[in-house]
Amino acid sequence: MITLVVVLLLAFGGLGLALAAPLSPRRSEVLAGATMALFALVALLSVVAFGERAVLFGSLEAGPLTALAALLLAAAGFFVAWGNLARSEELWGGPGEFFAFLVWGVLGGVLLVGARNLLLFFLGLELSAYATYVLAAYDRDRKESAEGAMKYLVLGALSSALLLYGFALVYAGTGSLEFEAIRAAFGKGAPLLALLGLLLSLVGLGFKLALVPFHAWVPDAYQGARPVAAAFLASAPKIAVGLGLAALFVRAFGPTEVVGKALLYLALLSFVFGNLWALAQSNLKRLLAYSTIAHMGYLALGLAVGGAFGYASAGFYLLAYLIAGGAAFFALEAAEAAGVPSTIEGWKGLFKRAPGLSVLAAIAFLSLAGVPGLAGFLAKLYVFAAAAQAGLYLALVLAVLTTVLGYYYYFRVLAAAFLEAPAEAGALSVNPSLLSLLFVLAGLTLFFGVWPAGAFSGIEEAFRVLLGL
Amino acid sequence: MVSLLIFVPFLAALVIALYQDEEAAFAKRFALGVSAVLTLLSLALYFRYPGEGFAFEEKLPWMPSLGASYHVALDGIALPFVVLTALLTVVSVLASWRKKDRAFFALLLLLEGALTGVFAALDLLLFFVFFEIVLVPMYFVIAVWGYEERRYAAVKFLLYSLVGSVLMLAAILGTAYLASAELGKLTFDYLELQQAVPYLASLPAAAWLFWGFALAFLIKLPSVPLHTWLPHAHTQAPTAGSIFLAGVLLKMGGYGLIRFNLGLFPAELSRFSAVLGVLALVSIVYGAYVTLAQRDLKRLIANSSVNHMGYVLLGIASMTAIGLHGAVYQMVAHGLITGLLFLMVGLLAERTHTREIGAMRGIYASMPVLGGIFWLALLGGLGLPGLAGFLGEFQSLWGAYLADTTRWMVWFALLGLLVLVGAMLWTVQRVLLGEKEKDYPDLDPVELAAAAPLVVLAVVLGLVPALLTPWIDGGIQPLLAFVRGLL
Repeated sequence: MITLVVVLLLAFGGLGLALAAPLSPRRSEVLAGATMALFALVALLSVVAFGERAVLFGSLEAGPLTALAALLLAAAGFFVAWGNLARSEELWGGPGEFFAFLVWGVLGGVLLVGARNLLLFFLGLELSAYATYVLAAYDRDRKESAEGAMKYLVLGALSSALLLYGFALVYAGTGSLEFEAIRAAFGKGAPLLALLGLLLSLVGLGFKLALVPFHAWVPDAYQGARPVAAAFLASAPKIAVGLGLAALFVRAFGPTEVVGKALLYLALLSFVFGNLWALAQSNLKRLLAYSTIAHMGYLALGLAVGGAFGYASAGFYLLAYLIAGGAAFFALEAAEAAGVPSTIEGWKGLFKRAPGLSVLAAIAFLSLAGVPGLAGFLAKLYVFAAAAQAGLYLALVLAVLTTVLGYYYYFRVLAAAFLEAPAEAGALSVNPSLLSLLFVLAGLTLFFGVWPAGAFSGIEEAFRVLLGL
Repeated sequence: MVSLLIFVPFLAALVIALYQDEEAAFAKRFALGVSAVLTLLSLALYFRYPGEGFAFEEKLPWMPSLGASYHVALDGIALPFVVLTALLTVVSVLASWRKKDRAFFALLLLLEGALTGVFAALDLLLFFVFFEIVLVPMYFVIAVWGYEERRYAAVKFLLYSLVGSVLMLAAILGTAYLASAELGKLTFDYLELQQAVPYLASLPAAAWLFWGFALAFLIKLPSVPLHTWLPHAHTQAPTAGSIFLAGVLLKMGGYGLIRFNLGLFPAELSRFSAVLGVLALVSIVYGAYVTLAQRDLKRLIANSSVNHMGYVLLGIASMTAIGLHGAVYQMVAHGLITGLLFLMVGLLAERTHTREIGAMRGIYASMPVLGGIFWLALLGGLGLPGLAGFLGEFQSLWGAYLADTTRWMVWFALLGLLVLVGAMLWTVQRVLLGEKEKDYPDLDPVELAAAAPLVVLAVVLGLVPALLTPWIDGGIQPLLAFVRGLL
């Protein structure tokens, strides 16, 4: 029942925010505060909902995995709403529906992960995707924003179409949209048509997860969006699709060799090429975009291994990426709000001008690179351990070697910020609410980097329940 | 107690980072105080060591789903390095007394904590965590406070080390997962994994795992042909960074080879001992020749390290008690003597504003104290009997002579020894001797205090090996007994 409360809270909370937006006088602070309160409430409820074992209306699973998705997504939304305080006075573009779409984006993710039939899965995915289309295009007076959002929209629609076509084939092959019926059909030996549909839907989900070769929209969408919106783009849909993919595989398709293999190859391509392309970037948003592709590759490696440990490693990866990736974008937002462009050139000498911001940003970048003691390292470690457990030693060696590339480009950013002399002198005044947000995220990065056991066992428990162990 | 040695430096670094002080007046004094207290603490542990096996053990659950725990303990192999780490932190802080950035002192303390963790960790993942953390402060120490080509040197150091360590991570995971079939559970605990050593040796993957570990350590050591990062990093690092690099960072390589390659893959080590021996031999001879050719004084010392660490590898490759003993002794001696050499070169370069050997003459005449200590350190570097370096090199060579695979190598290694003696003496002649050209201020009390412990220990450990030998024995003998029981 608590899961139902969470869903309703998100649905009507978003509606309330959308309606209140034009009426609210000091729009951003009030709305951001309300949004943060809403997400905090959702996070709290989803912790309680962890113990639930029920199916709502025969189509929505109320269990620990849904609760985990709600918790992570609410955390993502909470941080983004907080980060949005930095440039509140110029609540860019519209009348403040930003927050409503944030809430609906989270709602879509929760529905997608909890779905028990293909239709709800698709609806959840689309709701989450439409919210991010709007957020990507929100900065509508800038040409890059419109361009990036347009590319995102067109390619996103294409991927949705492929996904839908795949689902249609699955329906044709198995005669049902219900996960249980599909699973029963697959258990009797997968019908070829349905298997084809499954692979097509993997392509569609690969788009959403930004896996190579379906990644083309990512750099432009991230570059066009404001960093806060990009932070949401980089975390929420990934959490939803990452967890949703595991749920879809387990609930609907069972252990299918072909799909695991296909996902493994996508993973290899993503972390190899994502890291290679990131080497050449001088725009920080594009650098983070390509590095996201690489990170999603590591995530997909965990998903491809599967099993309670493999999925849990992917889940922990999402947690670590939510914190560190988010922090990196918020650092860009803080720097942009202080007038520093998001390029390596622009970040030169940042340490001299804004030492606090630089150190907090460095923690985020080091965590993304995978320096031990920070959450990003343990996330990689769990995924690598999953690969070793599955005996995928070639993939393991490739994965560890590509992390060296990651170190190289993240350290390039740090070298610019800490080692170079600034082009202009004078201390920057960094927005205090962003600085405190970055401080919280750095603390979480350290906390999960030193003591992962609690979070990991919770995530593992969620997947154990999913797998029926 | 051991945890204090690891985490107090981290906390102290945090205090320095948070305490606003412009000229680092507080930071350097605080760093000095903390590292001095920790040195005393490590000495207390050193003299309370019961004489054999692991002591001061602490174990806490850390990542139960992976079977990784926070497991630290010290044995006679690790203890000397823990003391050396603490002591060299004191020396480094004193050597950097004129630095005005508190971040520098915070990074030195971070290095101290992480390095102590490397030597104390008995869980493979914990070991890896500390092994990798070391890179970050070292990168910044070189890249921010180094000499003219610091950026290049720092990146090269980072990338070389990383390639080795990530492959080691793969090897660690492979070892633990393969051993779990034998042990019945997944564990990264060194002592538990040792029970699976015969099983690991029977696997076809054993050689891959062995080289996964060995590559990381051979890069760190460094051994030819993986040594090319070292001359850059050593030469470009600030004095304190060079002291840390030479004094402790390289030791992670030799320590790791003994602890993990010998302790977990003894059969593979004996299978590949000829390969490692040849690498050692090339390092000794080639390192000595390259030292001869240097024009930059700091680079000269750096290259002599390649030669010195070659003896360490040779001693390990011999797999004899005396050879391994010599390897550890040589590492400690090298830490003291090369640390002292880098300190002296750093102090010299601060005065002459050049590291070019051709531009220096008559240093002894113009600065008798600095020149005298430098002279002593160079003699220590060439392995003069009566100084610590001699005992290490001698025992390594002796051990190598006792083993069949490495016996013939000793004769060629002597050639390297001879060339290095020439290189060092020639350096004495070129830099220290000759007419006084210019007056420089001699060492001030702070600089003298930095050098004093190293000078004293280099002499004492050369004359009284009983201060170190029983400890090394306490670590090496049980390990060798274990290994011999299996081979």
